[in-house]
Amino acid sequence: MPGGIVSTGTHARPIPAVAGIGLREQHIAAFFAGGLPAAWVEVHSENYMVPGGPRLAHLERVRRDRPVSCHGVGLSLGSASGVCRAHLARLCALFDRVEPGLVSEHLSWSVVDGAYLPDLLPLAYTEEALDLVRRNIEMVQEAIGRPLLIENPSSVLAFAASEISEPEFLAELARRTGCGILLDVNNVYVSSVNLGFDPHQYIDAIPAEAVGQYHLAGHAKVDIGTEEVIIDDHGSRVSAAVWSLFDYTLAGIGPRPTLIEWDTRLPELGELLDEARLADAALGRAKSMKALGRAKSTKALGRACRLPEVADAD
Amino acid sequence: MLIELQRAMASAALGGDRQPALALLHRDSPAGRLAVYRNTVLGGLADVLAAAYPSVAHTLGCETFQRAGRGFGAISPPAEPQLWNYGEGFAEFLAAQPEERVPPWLPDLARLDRAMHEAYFAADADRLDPGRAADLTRLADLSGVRFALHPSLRVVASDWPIYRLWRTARDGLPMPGVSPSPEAVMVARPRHDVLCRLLTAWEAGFIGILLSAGTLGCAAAHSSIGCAAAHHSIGCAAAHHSIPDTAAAVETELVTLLQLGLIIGFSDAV
Repeated sequence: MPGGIVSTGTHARPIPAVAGIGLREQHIAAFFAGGLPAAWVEVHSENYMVPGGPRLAHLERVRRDRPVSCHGVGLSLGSASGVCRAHLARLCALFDRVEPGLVSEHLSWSVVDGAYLPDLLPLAYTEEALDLVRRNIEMVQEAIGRPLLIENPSSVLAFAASEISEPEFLAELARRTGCGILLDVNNVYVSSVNLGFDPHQYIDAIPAEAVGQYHLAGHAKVDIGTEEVIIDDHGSRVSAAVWSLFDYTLAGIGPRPTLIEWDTRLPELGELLDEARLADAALGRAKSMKALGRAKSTKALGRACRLPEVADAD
Repeated sequence: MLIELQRAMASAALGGDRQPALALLHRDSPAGRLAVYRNTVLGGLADVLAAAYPSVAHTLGCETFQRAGRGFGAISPPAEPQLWNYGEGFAEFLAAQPEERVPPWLPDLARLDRAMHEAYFAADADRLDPGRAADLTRLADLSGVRFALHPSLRVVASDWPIYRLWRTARDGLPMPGVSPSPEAVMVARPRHDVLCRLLTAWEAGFIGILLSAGTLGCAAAHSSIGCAAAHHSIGCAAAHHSIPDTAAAVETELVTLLQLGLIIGFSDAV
């Protein structure tokens, strides 16, 4: 499957390989007043699992004119106890209503013994975990009737038991389940700083043909007493280091739908749109490279990597 | 085993025993990093509560509210990931705190915040259409009518002046010292915006009985908030203490509810 468009049998609008923004309630008035000034939007699925009210009404209005991507934080694909069927049913109901162009979740867990922890907690990358997440993804994909995109987490720590590298783990999930990868370039950078690895090698190990979307966001340094770590707080502009890693990613993997995430310390909508324009500029440069036949993804990687057959909005 | 790792991490993230999680970390991952997950989980839950309980957050101030929210989160983590519904029981948690930390009226103010939060996300419903409303006026005897009310409609009653306290918090002003003085409030979201209206004790009892599917006759016949619950349990036959001009008051109340779009249906079946 080419990167990106994974809808099956719905009226879902495909998500183009350009920049989109995370839709936030605080921006909704400015978003409507500005004539829906983004090519597509992404929402957190769980925020729309509400009985009614303005939030759902706003999304109904947006989806009439813009493609929507549904990004979940609650399926807990890494839970040892399996995926919660009631939550899966809520997700299916939401997808029927919103008809998203892309649906994504995380390589992480949040639920144990009936408690939901509002964080994307890390897995130990073992054969046991690989088999478990594979089964959970297969169960979900069967229920929703379409492939999921799985996002790489940001990490501040690693477990002694891990025996598989994260990109290998993701590649293996994609190979075994047919799921795609949502490559969060900021998360790769954050983890690389905290855990001390080369982010370029990580990107190189991701199978380009499985990548269906990118995320970009800001991160922050936090002092935890004994040392400083960085966390993906999605509360600032994308850093120069992450833009540079994004250029590297585009050269290796190629253009895909790219989301600017901004979840805390929200700026004015205009600043978020500025970030989207920067992402579009980077995507544009990568597309020019492709037109010149110099995209690394076809040459250097030398694999059956089809460049994304996605609708360009520009 | 993955389940053990997840139990160990959950304990650390909810502020419990960190030792089991520490034993699982890679040697290059310093123990202090577990705090990042605890901060995200408990701080995140406190932030969710602050958004759902804005008047309580204003009353306590940022730092004290964070402590209270983290305390609640550690013992009552969410059971489901759709967090709009998180925080049920927070008023009772506040009520159990020592009085020197929490004013005695704060749990009721929390109930009002909760009612407004629930109203915002309540199911949508269409108002009674004009034809159906006309049917209502043609009924010879309205006393047996039961109303279907908008799903967002709620009544919050307190021994404290919660409406005044709520307005003070909404306007961002310092919270006053208050004495007990009963106030009741109607909360609803007929369309996009959540309404919060001060009610008389009679109005609160009237709407309360309609909300609990009592008949109009029963609702009209009660006299106070306390009586509303009693009537419901002992039956409408015991209705008494009609206010002097009950018919006019009932009509005013029904017209208001109709105009606000809060009556969505009715039945006059016995």
